[in-house]
Amino acid sequence: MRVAAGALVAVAVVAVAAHADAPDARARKALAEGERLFADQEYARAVKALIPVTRDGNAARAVRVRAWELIALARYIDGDLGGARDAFERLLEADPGFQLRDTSGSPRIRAFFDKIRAEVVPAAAASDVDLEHAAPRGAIAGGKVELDVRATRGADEVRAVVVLYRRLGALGYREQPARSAADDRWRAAVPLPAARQAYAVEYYVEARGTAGAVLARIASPDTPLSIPVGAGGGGGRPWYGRWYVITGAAVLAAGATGAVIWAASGQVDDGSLPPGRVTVTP
Amino acid sequence: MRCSVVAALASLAGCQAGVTLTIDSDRAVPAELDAMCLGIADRDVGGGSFGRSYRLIDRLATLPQTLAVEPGGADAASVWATGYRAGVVVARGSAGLDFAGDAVVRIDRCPQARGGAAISAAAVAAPAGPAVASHGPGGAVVVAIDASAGAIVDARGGALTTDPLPGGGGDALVAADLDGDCDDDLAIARGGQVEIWWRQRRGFVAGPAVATAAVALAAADVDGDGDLDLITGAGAAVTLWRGDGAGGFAADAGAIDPRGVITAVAALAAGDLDGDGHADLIVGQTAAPVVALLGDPGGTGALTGAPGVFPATARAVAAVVAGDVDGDLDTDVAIAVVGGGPRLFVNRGGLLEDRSFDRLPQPAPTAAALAIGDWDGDCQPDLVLAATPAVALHGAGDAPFTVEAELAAAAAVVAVDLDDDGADDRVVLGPAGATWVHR
Repeated sequence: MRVAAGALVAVAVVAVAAHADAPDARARKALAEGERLFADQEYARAVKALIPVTRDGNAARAVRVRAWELIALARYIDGDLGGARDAFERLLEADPGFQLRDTSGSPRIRAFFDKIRAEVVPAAAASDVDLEHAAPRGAIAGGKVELDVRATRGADEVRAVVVLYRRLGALGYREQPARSAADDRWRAAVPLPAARQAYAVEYYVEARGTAGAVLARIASPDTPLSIPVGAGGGGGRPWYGRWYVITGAAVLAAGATGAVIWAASGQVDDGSLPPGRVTVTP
Repeated sequence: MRCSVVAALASLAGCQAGVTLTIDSDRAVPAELDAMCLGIADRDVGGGSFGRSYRLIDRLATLPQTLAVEPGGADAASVWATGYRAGVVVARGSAGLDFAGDAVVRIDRCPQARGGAAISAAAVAAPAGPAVASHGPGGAVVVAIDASAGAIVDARGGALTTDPLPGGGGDALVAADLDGDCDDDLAIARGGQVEIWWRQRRGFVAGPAVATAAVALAAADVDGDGDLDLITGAGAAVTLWRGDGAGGFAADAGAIDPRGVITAVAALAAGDLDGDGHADLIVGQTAAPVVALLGDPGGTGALTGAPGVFPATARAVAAVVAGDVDGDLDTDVAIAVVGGGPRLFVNRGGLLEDRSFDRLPQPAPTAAALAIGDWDGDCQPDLVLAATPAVALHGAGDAPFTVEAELAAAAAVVAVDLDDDGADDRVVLGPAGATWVHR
């Protein structure tokens, strides 16, 4: 798997920003200090500052992963290959889909990382898939935002492309499979709940191979991309909070197996061609 | 999209969820593709099917487009799509649908092709007259006729099969989607009328008849209304029969103005010669120059004789084929000439130049018919001449065609994906019957 940052990405990466009142504020502060020392080429001091971050139970995974990345790079640059290997292994254990940020431009570091990844995450390392994608700069609530993903290499290895998205502030991601638009291109339509106020949707993209193995990513769970969503679609009280929706859902939940089957048949969105949906043999 | 608890439960219950079918093309819309049709059929003979035509305008003026497809009682289905430009077929594509995942059917500039050595299947008895390909549920078949009999030729299990064509033989035929359901029906000139036969699975059932004698037929959407129209020719008369999309045809006596240059129709073909997005008509005659009737740029469907499009040399035409022979996507024309070598007219800005002598191997054999199709997947159209023996010519764009192979003696030839593997094959019909050459 190669670094797959898309040249067409037109959205901003959500920075790992420090918030003074966040539970992991101390870890984020230490990370910021470690990044500063790393940038100043104070590698030993950077490692010293970053080690506590990796042990901080309150630190978000993104923070810990970033700390391991900097530790590994710092150790490698200082010639501590064993220590660098250990840091990369821990990093990949925390995030098997991690993609090395190309900050150093060193092919030797990349080869070193790729070798470790081949051992730790062989399925991902065996692939040779590169992704790029384009997304609109913004969207309006109540509709859908379309994301275009293209495999610039290894498209034939890709069995599925999935967009994992969440509203900013939510913990978990939801999956939105992309439909194939060509041999090497996929398109996903991510639903945007109606809202009276603007919000943001975070997302990352995964190309998956056989057995669901992640072959390539654009962004990651910990460093997702973001799309600002403008207010729209009616907003107000969430539709799922309305009494009749809740009542209807309860009735549906009590339905028979037939309803389940019906629901299964309705999972695919209607197509763009009239009549939208057809049944081959009714 | 089906990886959910609901889908899993449905699967346990023995049902399959729907999938998304995407129709896509690398052809520009509408410059290279302005209409299409989509067909879906249960692979089981007794199963259902779906077919519909679409004009690529308004909200459909872009590709890809999608359709949600639920299997119902089907285990698997075949999908095919036909792309049109200026009212004539310019591209075809097909795909399988097993409902295990989404599917894509493409109608691209370059057809698919398979590699490997050519395989000739054993010949089966079939008429050696005019032959056409018909696409529809169950895949493509070839229909061949002579004056007394007709046959439906198909490939099953790696061998050719033939079934008699209902109604027998005829004088001329054309295969086209005459009722807008995306399968190719037949119009057959016989007994002083033109009979319409609807495609039904791999066969045909009788439809209405158009009361006119004809020795040549063509089909195209000349007025751009999304419904294919019929053009019949006999003697000095060429008549437009406007289709209503449901299988009805009404003569439009004033639609064609040949300007007195048509005396003896021998063959017809449709294509956009001047690139204005409206179908034009090519008329081959028994002893007169090939004539172009250009479609009204206003889209009314009127066709008017246009002198100077073809060279004014008289030819005894046996067959006319319109299509791209040099890979530039415009409409060129190849004709088979009685008692002489075929002629190749290459389109340059709407003028059809006779490039036979620098594009075809010389001396070219006398051919009774021709077929155009990319057989080797290099995105350059190839040619097959129905001669004795038939000659397969390899195309290389602007470069001359070169002889690729000699095939069985033939009076007719069709380039068609007979085994539905996505790549064109060649069906050669001659004294020995029908021979299928595939990879």
